[in-house]
Amino acid sequence: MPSLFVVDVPEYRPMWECAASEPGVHARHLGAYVELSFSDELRIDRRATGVRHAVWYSGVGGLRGATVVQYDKDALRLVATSPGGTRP
Amino acid sequence: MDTKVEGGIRGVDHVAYVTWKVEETVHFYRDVLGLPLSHCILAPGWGSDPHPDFAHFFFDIGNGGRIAFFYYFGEPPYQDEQISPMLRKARHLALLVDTEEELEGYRQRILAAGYPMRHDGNRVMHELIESIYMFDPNGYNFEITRKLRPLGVADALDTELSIQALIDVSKGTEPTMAKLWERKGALILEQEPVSHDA
Repeated sequence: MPSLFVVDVPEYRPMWECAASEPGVHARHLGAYVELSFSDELRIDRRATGVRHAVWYSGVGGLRGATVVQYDKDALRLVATSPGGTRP
Repeated sequence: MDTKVEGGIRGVDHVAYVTWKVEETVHFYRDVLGLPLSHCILAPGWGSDPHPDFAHFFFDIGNGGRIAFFYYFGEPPYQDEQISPMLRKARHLALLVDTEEELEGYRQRILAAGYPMRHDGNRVMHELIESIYMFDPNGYNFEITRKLRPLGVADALDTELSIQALIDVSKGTEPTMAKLWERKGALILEQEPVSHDA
């Protein structure tokens, strides 16, 4: 499954908790990170997280098989990377 | 806190700039910010041609650190017209305070003295620091900041993986943030971290 990694420090907790509350999202602690796995799409509403801009825009710690298709003042939206997509 | 890194380096002794505005510079750093002038070298003939005579003066910024300026006699004011706005904004010196009250105190001092501040004079809350920004009388980008929390083990690991991913991606063709995130995701999994449900 595609996933988003968020480093497990206090500033980013509202981001991953918000994402983890969405249906179809599985969250697990993974060392120093929280991994949020999803099937097709993951959307986090910025206002729902309540985090300030600097935290919001530095919240993506890493990706696996996922592509960011929206990352602005409204939302962070990830979709599963299509074959031949953004993998380096 | 007085700490050393391997090899013995334990902080900044001084950072040095060139000025053509001695009075304004002294007023800003000594009178407005309250940084004591701790040292001044008057050096006739020491400088390389065409500016052999210079003054080099230092303001104390605490913990043994200093901010220094050169004034070169006979050297006309110079400004690099080619420097991009990106570099002018990115290059900066950030001085450290401990508390919100101290940061606010400097903000009030600078505003009361009539110096324009960046970000409309507001304090800017970043992810781990809070800062105020201004250009000094010479146009040098200048910041005062306070730390919001100490860095921990997770921050250190995250930094290590971010930098490794950045090195890997920046060596490749067309580096992008998307490639960095994917590379860093792979590095996170290579750590073979212990997992449990959140």
